[in-house]
Amino acid sequence: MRSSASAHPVPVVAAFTYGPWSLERRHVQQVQAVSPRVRAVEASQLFARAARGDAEASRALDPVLREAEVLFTRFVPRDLLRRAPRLRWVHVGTAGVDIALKESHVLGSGVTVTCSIGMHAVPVSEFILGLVLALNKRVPAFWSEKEKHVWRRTEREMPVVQGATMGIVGYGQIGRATARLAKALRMRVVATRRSCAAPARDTDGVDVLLPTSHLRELLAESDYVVICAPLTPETERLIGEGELRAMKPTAYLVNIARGRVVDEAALVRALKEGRIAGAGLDVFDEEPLPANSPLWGLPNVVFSPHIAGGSERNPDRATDLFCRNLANYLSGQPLMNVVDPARGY
Amino acid sequence: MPASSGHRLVVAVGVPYSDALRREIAGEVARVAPDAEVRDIAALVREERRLRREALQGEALAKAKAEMDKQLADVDVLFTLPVVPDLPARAPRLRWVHFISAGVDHVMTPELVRSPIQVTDSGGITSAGMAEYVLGVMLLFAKRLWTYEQQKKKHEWRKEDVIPVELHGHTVGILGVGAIGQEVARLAKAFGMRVLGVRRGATARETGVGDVDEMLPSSALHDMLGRSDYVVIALPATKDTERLFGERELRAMKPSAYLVNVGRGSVVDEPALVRALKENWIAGAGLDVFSREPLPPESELWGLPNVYMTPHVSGNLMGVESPIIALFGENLRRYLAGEPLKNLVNKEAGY
Repeated sequence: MRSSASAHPVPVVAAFTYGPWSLERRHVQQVQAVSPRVRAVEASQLFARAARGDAEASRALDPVLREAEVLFTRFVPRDLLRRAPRLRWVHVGTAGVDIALKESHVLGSGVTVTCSIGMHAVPVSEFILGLVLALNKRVPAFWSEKEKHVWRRTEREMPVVQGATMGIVGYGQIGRATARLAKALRMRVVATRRSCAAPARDTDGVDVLLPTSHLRELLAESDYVVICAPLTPETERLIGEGELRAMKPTAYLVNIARGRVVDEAALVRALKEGRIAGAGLDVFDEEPLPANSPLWGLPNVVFSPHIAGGSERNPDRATDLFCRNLANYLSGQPLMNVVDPARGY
Repeated sequence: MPASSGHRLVVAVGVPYSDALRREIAGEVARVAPDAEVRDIAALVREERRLRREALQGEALAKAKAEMDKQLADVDVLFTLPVVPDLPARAPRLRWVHFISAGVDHVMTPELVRSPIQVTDSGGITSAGMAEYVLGVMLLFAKRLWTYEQQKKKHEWRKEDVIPVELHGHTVGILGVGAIGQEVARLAKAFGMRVLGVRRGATARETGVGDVDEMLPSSALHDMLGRSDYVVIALPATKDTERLFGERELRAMKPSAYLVNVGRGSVVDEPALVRALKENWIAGAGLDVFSREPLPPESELWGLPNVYMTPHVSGNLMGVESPIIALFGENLRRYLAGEPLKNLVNKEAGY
C-alpha cells in the first residue's frame, strides 16, 4: 500500500445501510473527526438505490467513486474497480466479505480489504442461543398448537439446555462469545478450531478444544452443533451426509455462518428421515431461499432470513471499528482485520 | 417425625410422570430407608383426577375414591405432583408431603394449611430450567424469531423490515425475585443486560443485590415498568399478588416492551392484558400461565399474533429428575433422623 502517512487529503466514502437503519449525520461526523485530512462523503442511500438498479443513483455515484481513496460499505458495485481508480482500501462492514464483494474481483486486485469480523459477536451469539433455546423449548410445536387453539399439557415435558453439550465448529470471535453464553446456561462446550494443533481441555472458554480433524468426535457428542466457520474452499460442504450421520438422532444443527458450509440436500434428507432432531437455519445455499425449497415445509426447522448479525447497534459498531481502522490507515499503522485474498477471510 | 415403632414406614408416590421416574424414586427410598414400603399410587391419582375433571359423579368416582382412601390410610410420606383432595382426612398418618413442582400455591388447600403435615417443594432445582424458558422467550422476541416463524409458514423471505435487536444493553425488570427471578437475573447479566427487581421484602432502593443491579420496593413497581424492555413475572400466586398486574401496570410499560409470565395467571388481569396487546400498549407477551387453565377456547389470546404461549409447562422439566430425587432422598434421611427438612414451605405465606 502507498504510504498513507503523508499529509494529502483522503477522500472517504461512507455507505452503510442496514434494514431500517443507515448512517446518520453523527456517524459521518465521527468519520470526519478522525482527522482533518479526511474528506468524508456520505453515500449510503446512493449505494442502496444503485444496488436496487436505480440508474440515476448509479450515475450520481460515479464522481463520488472516481475520487474515493477509502470506501466503508456493506457491499460494492460489481464494476467498482473500474469506477474507482484511486481506491486503496475497502473496509467492509460485515464479518464475511464473500457476499459484500461478490463478482467485484476487489479481493486480490491490490486494493486492501478489511472486514468487520468481531463486530457481530454480540448479536450473532445472542441469535445462536435464541435458535438453540427455540429448538430446545419446542417453539415450533407450541406455535402450531397455539394456531390450532390446542391446549395439550398432560405429561408434557419441557427439555432444558443445562448439562447439554454445544459443539461449535469454527472457534473464532463469534464462537467464543457463544461459548460464554452457553456456559452461563450451564452447557458443556466443545469446539473445533483450524489453528488448534492437539486436543486440549478447559481452555479458552470451552471444555474441550479440538483440531478440525476431530470434527466427527464433536459431532458425535454434541446436542447442538453450531456452525460458525467462514466459507472458504476448505469449509465448503464441510457438513455433508457423513457428518450428519455422525450426529446423534436427538441433536440439532444450527447454522448462522454460510449456507454452503452445509450440504443442504443432505441436510434436508437428514431432517426428513429424522436422523437429526431439527435445525435452526439463518443461512442457505441460495438466498433468498427459493419458494420451492423443501426447508420451508419442515416442521423441525426454525428459520430466519440471514439476519443473525442484525442489530440496531450495527451502524454504531461498524462506524466505531472503521474509525479505529481509519486512524491506523492515516498514521501508516497496520490495519485491523485485513482479509487474506487466498483464505478469503 | 420418625414413624412409631411397630409400623413400617409407608412412602406413597403419586408423581404422574414416567414409570422410570417412579422406579428411580423407589430406588432412592430403598437406599435411604431399606425397610420402608414404597406404594405407587400414580394410576389412582390420575384416575380420580380424571373423573373429577370430567365431573363424572356417581359410582365410578365413589369407587376410585374408596380405593384411594384405602391406599392412603397408612401412608406416612407422600411424593406427588397433583393435589389430592381432602388429603389430611384421607391420610391420617401423613406427616410430610413433597411436591415435585417449584411452587405449591396451586396445591395448597385450606385443610392442608391447617393440618400438621409438613410440605416441601422442589424450588431451586426447577428454577434454572424455568429461567431458561424466560430467556428463550426474551430471545424469541428480541431476535424476531416469532416473525420469521410466521414468514416461514408463508414461504416468505423478508429481511429488511424486521431486524433483530440485542438483549445486550437492554433492561429486564423482574417482578418477584425468588429462586426463579434470581436465576433470570444471573442469565440476564451474562447477556449484558441491566437487571431491575421488585421484591416485597425490599424497603428501599438497593443496588447490587446478587445479580440484580437495582432492587426496588413494591412501591417503585411503576418506576421499574417504565424503564424495562422486558418485564418478567415470577411471582407466586397468593392473595397479595392476585391481579397485581392490571391496566395501570400495563400502561406503565414501554410500548416497545415485552411481558413474560411464568408465575401464575392470577397475577395478571387478563382482559386488560388482551387490550394491551390488541391496542399495542406493549409489544408482546410470552405466557406460560393463564387466569383459567386450560385456557378457554374463546380466549382472545389464542388469536393474537404478538403472543407466544405454552400450556403451563415451563416448570415440567426434563432432565431435572435426578436432583429432585436426590433432594427427596436427603429429606427422607432428615425425616427419619428427626432433623428439619430442606425446602420447607411456609404454608401460611404460600411459598
